[in-house]
Amino acid sequence: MRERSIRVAAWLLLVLSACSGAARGQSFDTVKKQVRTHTLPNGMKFIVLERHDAPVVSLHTYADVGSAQESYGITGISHIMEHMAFKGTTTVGTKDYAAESVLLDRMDSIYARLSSDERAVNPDSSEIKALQAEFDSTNGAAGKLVVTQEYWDLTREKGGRGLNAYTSNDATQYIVSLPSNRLEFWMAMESDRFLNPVFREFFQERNVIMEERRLGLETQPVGKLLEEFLAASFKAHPYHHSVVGHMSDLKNISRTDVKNYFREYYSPSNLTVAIVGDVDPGQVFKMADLYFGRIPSGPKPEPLRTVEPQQWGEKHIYVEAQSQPIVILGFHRPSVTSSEDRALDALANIAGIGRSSRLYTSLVKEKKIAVQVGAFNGLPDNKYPNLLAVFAVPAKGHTNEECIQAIEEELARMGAETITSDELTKYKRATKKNLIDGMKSNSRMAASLAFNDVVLGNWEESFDVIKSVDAVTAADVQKVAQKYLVKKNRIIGELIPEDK
Amino acid sequence: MKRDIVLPHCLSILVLLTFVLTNTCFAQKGPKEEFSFPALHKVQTPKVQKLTLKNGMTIYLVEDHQYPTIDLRALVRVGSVYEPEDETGLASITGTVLRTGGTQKMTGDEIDKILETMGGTIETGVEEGLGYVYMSILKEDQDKGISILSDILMHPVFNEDKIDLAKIEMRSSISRRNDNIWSIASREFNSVIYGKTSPYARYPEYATVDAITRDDIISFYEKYFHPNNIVFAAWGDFDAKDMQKRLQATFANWPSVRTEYAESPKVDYQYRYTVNFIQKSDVNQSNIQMGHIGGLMNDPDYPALVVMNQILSMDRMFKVLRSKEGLTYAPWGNYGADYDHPGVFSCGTQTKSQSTVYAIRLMLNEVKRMTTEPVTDDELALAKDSYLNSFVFNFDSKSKIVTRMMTYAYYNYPLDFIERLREGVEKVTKDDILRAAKSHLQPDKMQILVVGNKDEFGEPLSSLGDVDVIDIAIPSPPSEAAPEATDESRSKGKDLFDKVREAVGGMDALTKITNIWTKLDFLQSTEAGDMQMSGEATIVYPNHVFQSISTPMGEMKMVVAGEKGWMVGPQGKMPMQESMRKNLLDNLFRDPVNFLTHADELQIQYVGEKPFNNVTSYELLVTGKEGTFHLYLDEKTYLPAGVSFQSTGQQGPMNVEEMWSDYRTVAGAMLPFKTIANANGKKMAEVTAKEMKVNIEIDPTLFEEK
Repeated sequence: MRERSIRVAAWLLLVLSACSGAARGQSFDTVKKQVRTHTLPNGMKFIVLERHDAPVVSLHTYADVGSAQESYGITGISHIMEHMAFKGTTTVGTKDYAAESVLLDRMDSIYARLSSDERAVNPDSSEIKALQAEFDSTNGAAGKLVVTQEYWDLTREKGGRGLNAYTSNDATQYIVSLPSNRLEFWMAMESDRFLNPVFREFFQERNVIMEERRLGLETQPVGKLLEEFLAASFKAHPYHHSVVGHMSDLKNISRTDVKNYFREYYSPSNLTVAIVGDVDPGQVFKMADLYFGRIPSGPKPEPLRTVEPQQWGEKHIYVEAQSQPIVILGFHRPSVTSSEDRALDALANIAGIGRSSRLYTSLVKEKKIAVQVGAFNGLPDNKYPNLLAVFAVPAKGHTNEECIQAIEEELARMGAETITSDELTKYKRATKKNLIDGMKSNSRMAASLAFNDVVLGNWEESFDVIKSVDAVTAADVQKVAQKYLVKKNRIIGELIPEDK
Repeated sequence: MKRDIVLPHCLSILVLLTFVLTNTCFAQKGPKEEFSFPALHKVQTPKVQKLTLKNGMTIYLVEDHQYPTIDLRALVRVGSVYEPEDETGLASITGTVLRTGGTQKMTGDEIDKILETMGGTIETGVEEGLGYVYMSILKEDQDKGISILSDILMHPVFNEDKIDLAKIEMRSSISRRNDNIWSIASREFNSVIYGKTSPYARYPEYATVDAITRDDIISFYEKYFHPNNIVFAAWGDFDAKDMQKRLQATFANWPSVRTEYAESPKVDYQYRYTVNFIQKSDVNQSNIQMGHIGGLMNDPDYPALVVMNQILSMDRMFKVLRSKEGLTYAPWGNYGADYDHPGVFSCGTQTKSQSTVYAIRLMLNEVKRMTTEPVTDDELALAKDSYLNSFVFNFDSKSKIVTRMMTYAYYNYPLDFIERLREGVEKVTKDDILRAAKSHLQPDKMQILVVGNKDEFGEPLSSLGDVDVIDIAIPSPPSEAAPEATDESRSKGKDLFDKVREAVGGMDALTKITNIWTKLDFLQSTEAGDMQMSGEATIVYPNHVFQSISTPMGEMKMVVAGEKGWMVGPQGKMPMQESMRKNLLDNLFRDPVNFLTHADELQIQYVGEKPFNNVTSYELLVTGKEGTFHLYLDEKTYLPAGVSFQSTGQQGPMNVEEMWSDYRTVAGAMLPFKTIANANGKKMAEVTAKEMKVNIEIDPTLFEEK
């Protein structure tokens, strides 16, 4: 239930964030041949990679909904929904669902009045007080019927590892690994989760999420920088707001809002499951028919309308905090489905990943003005046009300005000259090595299959990516550098020490 | 399903049978129903080959032909626990520059390029109790990879430029260490438990980094990096026999050398209840850590404590603080055990400032409950099931199996330690947990640390007991090297110093001054605007200071009596942060009455001419055992125009300039009545003396700590 907005902050600190690559041909195709897929009549898709190295299995449910689907007033709701998916069902997490559901409905209607009264221009404090008391007593009564954390405990008891979920701008992903003989238990749990969900302990959980926002964003100088930076970068597209959402929205989103959101975005046609490990695909599909086939079909949500328009000139924002300086530069780029994606991937790798990269060589080793510098794509996410980002952590006694200038020089070289063949080799080999390492892990493989199938429309890309990587040329890289690394297309965000 | 219409009768029965059977196997079940799980497939335990070279190097090998890669890890018997305290950081820098500093054959930059061009990685490092080496490469590069790795281990050159780079990194991380409350809390909690100077808690400072030389690094490497102190694990797409030969050939000529290890640092822990606090004015959420010393993994109670930890974290802290109360995102409770020295028992969480004390009380209560009542049957069963049913994940990759073996070998633990632990966990009872909790947890002697913004606390932290305020100000680096003193600069410095002393009133007048009392107005510049206050100050030479300031919140007194310092505010007495006490004493060191009468204890050096506060001045560099400052003399009058020096703030070092003016005669001496102080070029404060008296009668109770 840790969400991705924290991870975004971690990206800045973790230089190496490449997520794809390729192995030597034959071992790749061998693995690829082990993949089977199956789509249920209700539209839910299953992708299974069978391998019997160890008697364990990783299970990954990918809901094609993230904070990019949110509009004003409900920012953070995808992430709230993710948290609520751990609160149980009509049979899990309750002592008496019939009694509980009456109380939950009553709470919803009290809350609707309370919430709108609180937001009134001239709030009526005595009315609010009365409603609050009524609300608290109903909430208390409902709480008595809850079996706290039963959802977690059932999975713990079965030996589940890594039970978790992630919300990002693009997706909400639910993951767990189990001893492989527990497959049917997962089928029962996961299908129940989306067939009979009950969003109980909602108001306590909203408070937990506010703490999560404070933890990951409001007490972290880098978190503040990223929130402000993305808000400045995207004037129209919902990549504008952070995954965790605005505090005022978190304080006002209701259970009814979440139920509506669930209805719109969690129909089986919007869900994809990837399963990797010691399982028999035939058996998986039979069980999937039986368990997930019960979920009624629904329409696929309408695709997003808003496209980020052109930026008319450079933007520069500052965040003041009790912190040493940090700087981040962003360049608008097309989505991951673009034909230029691989060239941009190579560009970021050659400019900013590793100790022999151009930025590290210049800023850290030679000029000694930074202690960390790096470049990566996909800020804040990949499915829609996003940013290629470059960040630097100035060395003690050095400034953001010095780093910006040195970064500008290196990026200008990327457009002015072609990259060397060694650099291109470095990119291709590093990507290949990364892909092989990713294939060793059931959970990473499951994540990759689900992502590629949903976002690129093609799980095969988890393996075929090596072909497009191999096809990248020095001229491709130079071309995207010239096209995107220009001042007009740029946003600079600076974290600067607060005036005291 | 349309099926039986056209089928022969017997076949349709068969199909029907299959249909019935499949549905019997797969009747839908609710998540809470009983499942009849098939037997778990067997874990294929790999064959691990052990090899000990003649020079004492131990190697564990496992073939894994699934993917065309080779991975290697090694542990080296070294650690920051073996570095001298005044060179804290030496071990870490040695570990970094071992890899970045290059070898006799290749520079570090060449190694970076070769490795990255082949998509490979080699990294080295030294942590608290171990050194590590790892390599991950594609199979086709194994010759190149092993050759670079062995070259790094056996023939490093510790290039000066890369030492410089490592020091820049370390100084930068010192300057950034108070940027994030999580890192403040973790670091300082460790200090609270082990003690600030313990090798298990201390951290580098500018001074300790500056003290590290290349010779120190080379001797540190030469003392510990020998084959007999190294245990290797390698796995991947190789033939074990062939790999054995390669490693033998590569490392055979590396001679073994016996290392005399210092005794492991002692952890001498006194159980006590304390409340510690660090103020961060820019946060709205507190970071809380609390606990006491923990134990060792080979303790017979360890299996019971493993089960207890799960219950304490998942069934108690998580359910109470997060699910029921909605107070926090990530609470925990964990009895920490280490291989070779006592770990830390810690509980912690983050919660909005208002609920800080409430959350602490809830956590204390859960710790107490662990030691007073048995866990429930359900909790015990769940925790054991969870451990035992997920045990297979310890064996789901060959790398986990072989690196675990290497780790056990490094710490001299039985190689089947994890199996023994499982057997132990299987046997754990409710009584075992209660007994282990009673003997290992001391709920009344917890040390609590809060990093947060006290202005927003719902209930004051003092309601939990006396609060120790921890000072996290970053000590300034040793003064930048002064220009080399020459006979000429020293003699010119002394001449000017004599002239100042005369201008201020002469030795006789100055030595007669034993104390100064001043009534003053005080203007402090803050973010919110200027704040005007008034008060009085008494200085008793050489080391007593009393200040009293009326603030909007009431009267605030600050007292320094030599080694002791305290404050008295409207809410009563509070300890004074060490950095504040030092700052007040440093002010005294820079007081003209003091330094002009102690020339014999100072090094004085002429630096040059410089405009200071719009006055053309002579600049002197004055160094004593308390530190260094720059003194500026008005060229015309020889009166001090002011001083500049490095001071310490929470965000790190500050450059402070004090400008002195409005000199008036008091008891035969010329003393400044106005001081303006700038920090990093920004105005910080302005002090105006309304009245000044010398040699007044001192009330002795002024400096008595009550």
